Amino acid sequence: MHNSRIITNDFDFFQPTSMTELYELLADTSVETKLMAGGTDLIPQMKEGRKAPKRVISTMKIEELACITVQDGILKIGAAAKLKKVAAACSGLPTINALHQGVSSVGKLQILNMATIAGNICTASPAADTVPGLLTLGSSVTLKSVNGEREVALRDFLAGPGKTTIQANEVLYCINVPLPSENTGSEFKKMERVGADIAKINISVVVQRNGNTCESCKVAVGSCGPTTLLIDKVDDILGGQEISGPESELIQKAAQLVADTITPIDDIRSTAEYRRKVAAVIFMDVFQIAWVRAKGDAA
Amino acid sequence: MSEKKFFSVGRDTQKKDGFGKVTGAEIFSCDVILPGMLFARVLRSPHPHARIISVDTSEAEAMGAVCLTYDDVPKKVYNERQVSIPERTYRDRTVLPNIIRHVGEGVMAVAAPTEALAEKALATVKVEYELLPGVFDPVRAMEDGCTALYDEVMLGDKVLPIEHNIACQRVIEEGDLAEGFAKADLIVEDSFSTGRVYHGQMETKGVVCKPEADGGITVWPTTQSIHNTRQLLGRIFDIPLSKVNVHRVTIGGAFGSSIQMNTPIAICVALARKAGKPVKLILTREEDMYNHCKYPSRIKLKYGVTKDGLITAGQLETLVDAGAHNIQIYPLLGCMAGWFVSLYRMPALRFAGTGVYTNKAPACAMQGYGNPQVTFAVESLMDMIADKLGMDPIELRLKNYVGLGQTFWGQGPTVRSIIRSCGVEEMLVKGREMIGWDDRGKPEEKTGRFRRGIGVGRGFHTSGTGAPQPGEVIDYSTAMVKINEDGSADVSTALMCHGGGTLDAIAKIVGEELGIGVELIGVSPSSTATTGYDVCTHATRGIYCGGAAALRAATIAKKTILEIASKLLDVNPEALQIKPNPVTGEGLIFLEGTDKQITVGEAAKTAQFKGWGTAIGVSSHRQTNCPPCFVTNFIEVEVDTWTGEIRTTRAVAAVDAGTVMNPKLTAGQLEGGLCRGVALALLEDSDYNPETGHLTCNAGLMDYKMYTAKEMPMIDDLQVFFANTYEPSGPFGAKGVGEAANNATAGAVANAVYNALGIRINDAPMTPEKVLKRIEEAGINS
Ligand SMILES: Cc1cc2nc3c(=O)[nH]c(=O)nc-3n(C[C@H](O)[C@H](O)[C@H](O)COP(=O)(O)OP(=O)(O)OC[C@H]3O[C@@H](n4cnc5c(N)ncnc54)[C@H](O)[C@@H]3O)c2cc1C
Repeated sequence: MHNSRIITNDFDFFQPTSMTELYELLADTSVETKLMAGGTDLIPQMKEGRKAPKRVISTMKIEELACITVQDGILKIGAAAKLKKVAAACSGLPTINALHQGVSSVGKLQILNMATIAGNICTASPAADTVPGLLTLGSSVTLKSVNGEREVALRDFLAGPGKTTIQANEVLYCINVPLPSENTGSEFKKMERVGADIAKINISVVVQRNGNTCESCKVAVGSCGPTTLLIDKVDDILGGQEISGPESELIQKAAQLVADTITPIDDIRSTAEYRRKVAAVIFMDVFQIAWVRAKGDAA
Repeated sequence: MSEKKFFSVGRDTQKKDGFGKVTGAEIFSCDVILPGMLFARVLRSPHPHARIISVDTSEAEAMGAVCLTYDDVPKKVYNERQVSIPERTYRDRTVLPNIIRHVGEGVMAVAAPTEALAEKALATVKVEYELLPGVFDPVRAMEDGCTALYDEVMLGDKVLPIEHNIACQRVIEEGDLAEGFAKADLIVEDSFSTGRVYHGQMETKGVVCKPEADGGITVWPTTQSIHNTRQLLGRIFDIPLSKVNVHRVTIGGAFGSSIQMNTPIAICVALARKAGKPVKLILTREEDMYNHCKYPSRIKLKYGVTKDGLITAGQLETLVDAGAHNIQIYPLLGCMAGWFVSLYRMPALRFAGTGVYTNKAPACAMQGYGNPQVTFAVESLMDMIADKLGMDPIELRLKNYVGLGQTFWGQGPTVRSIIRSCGVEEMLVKGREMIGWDDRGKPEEKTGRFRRGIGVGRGFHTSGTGAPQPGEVIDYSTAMVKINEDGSADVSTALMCHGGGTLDAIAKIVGEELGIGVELIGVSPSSTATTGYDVCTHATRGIYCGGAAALRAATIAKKTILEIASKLLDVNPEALQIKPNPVTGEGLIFLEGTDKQITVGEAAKTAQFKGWGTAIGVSSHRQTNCPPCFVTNFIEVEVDTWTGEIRTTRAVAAVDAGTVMNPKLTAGQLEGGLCRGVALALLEDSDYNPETGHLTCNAGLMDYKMYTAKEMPMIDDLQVFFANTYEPSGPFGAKGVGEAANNATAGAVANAVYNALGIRINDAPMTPEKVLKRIEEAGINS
């Protein structure tokens, strides 16, 4: 039985204060190294013996990594920005409400004050709460290393449970969220056993609306597959269509598609059967709110 | 309620340990640090059932660790819970075992200068096991040919062979059952079950032990009973009690988890004695979760009633999963019978209970000791009867409840007394108004996705286990009160406060009696060496039993100080009274209608100078009653019929606790009990993997979930009130509150769900997964 109180394996701890220093540390890929932001995933994993790095490098002393800015219609969230700050930055941007809700739903206050989106993404949990919002908003990540930088779409970055396409010498530098046009509404909902829990299922919907026509609809569902699933086919059903009501046949068809597309399993939090049943219900709930928001008359 | 006005009792006062707790200054077991102290870790079995063949500690010893194995420990067979008389105490374990009976059971232990080193040393220990088949299902456990966990155990001083893994069985009968059921116009019967709930107390179990130069030991444990811990340690390690001193240390919550002398205590003592150094052993959350849980129970319940709703007979059969050790199944079954018979009158009844060994963490007392489980069944079945008779559920309850003047034996057949205070009717009538009972509607009238329902649940707990006659359960308390030379006073008792304010109440009782403000009453740090025996702070007995002893001690001290004052004032002591200064709390001794007066402090100081001695009182007292503190919950739920999720939207929680000592703390107790009761109904359970015998929640709080304020109704929608009663046998009219708060809730939730949906769910917890399935089966949305 592991000792959740202490970490028994020895490791060296680094706190670089500049990107250059960080690149140098990361360039040595001969020893097992883990980056650490808030540590809210990494530390429990180390206590449980699931991770045993020889070096731990904190990103939190590098000032530029904590920046949150909007440049050319793109919200850039630094890898060391704490969730509490991210939530505050999102709260002034109504079209990305789904991201705001997803970020705010991670743990409780203690976690929000410590954790980062970068950590949430890089842990690559299928239940990650910031990811559905980010995926439906078409976000990308910027990766940097001593060799330069590259931008990767988030959907390509997430490779499976606990897996991303990051290289050993790279650091996730920032997350880029394109701010959608004003006729966009978005909503996120998380179903959980108690009020502060990892999701049984979480869903984000982003709709673009023109009058009663749905111009596009992006849906992402978490905790129902190896990674958060971006379900493109919903757009094939709803895109360009007139929406007659919240429970119209079209919406029900889209909801059924969501339920049929996900690949949930039985685990400690719920069952595959239940997740499939409620996926459709939650999709309809979330779509409805996003739809109303897109018109601009919901808070 | 008595007309007497209290100056301290019944007022909201500052909790004495409040500042220490919120500033982190309070010392808990894990804060105790001694010079040269070692840190212990226990090697836990990954197997549910295995014989230990060999343990190789050579590497760990080479690392400088002190190692403790089965060979090192005394072979005294013990039961960690000491509350029954010896002839009724089943004993089945040693400090470390040679046969492992559940995953997480301690195999051996190490101590080293740091916890990290201890952990590393532990990793080098090699254990050879002979694996034995695991038994996890209590029904299967009783079948012929099933693997036996034990061949025999000890009952008192006798060897007791164990057959079919049955740890203990009890049948209790009164009246003519056949005749009772024959008289019934309607017989209603159903089966119920509740989950394997983990205590989830904030502080995990822990202990520090210092071996003394004279061969004695000093111990700082998490415990609800320092005296039982002392007696048991003395017996296991063969040390005279005068050399075993157990300190009372502030505990970070209990819910019953430290009602016994927990197993880490004995392991730590053995390690400290072997090492010759102080040792600290604090369980991790994972170890704690594999240490104990609530008794998971299956219950078959049957009532016979007349057309008019009068109960003619009742029968309850229960199967309790004891886990790997029998921690007081015998009194548990007696109590479960008691909980059953004490809610509603039955001319004839039968109780049959069986506790079965399985290869799981042992179950022990937790918030209600079988009461929430039984009451969930009884209150559910009461509503089913009302439904069948077309009678209002509240009317049915009013017709049948056990109340004033009737015999009550909540704590089992040997703990009988007469009810002398009862707020049952008041709570039902007032609560009915407050929740809007008459507008709750019928299930068949409700439509739409979100459906609300209101349910009622009654419950009670006993205030201790005292009775006019000595029974099988030990119950008494001791207290000492002394008046200091400045007019303040100290009370010393072995009672514990689990967070609910028990010791504050004791201070109030003493202050009230002495005529001194509660702010001038100090609650002394205590240990077994400096206090008389107190059975345990359990069974909702702190205020009623412990407070009664403190009151008697205060009365003696008061008599002495008045005698001193009478000499100084030259009046008859019986003519003197004491009242506190409303600002300073200082006691003023005075003769009514005259200007003869002296402060308590002046009297005490003068007595010191004159050499007259200290005003001091000691009392060791057993209560000769066991009054029920009744509770009533009205709960409104909202069910999302599309997802099966249930929210608690409104609640009214009422208690009949006699005189309420501290209204805010009592309300907090009710709210906390309600929260945990809702969780018993809707959420909490801990499954075992039937192949590996491991907890499926991985023994961590990441996946063992508990409710917080977030799942409770909004603050204005959760109302609490106290019945206006006065218990003549209690200190200043008080009874208990403690566990009662939890007992009525699960039944109220089940009844509310029924009122919302017309679906009755008898197997708690009612998870959304389960509820949605039942909704689909009932065809509610189609
Ligand atoms: C009590 C509790 C509750 C929680 N509740 C939730 C919840 O409700 N929803 C949820 O989604 N999660 C939850 N989590 C998980 C966790 O808090 C989140 O995933 C959080 O966002 C992780 O962020 P962090 O900064 O703490 O990551 P860290 O633990 O510091 O890092 C996580 C991973 O990301 C890597 N990493 C971090 N920064 C970088 C970088 N710049 N470049 C490359 N790799 C990097 C690390 O190497 C590590 O593998 C909870 C955790 C706890 C302990």
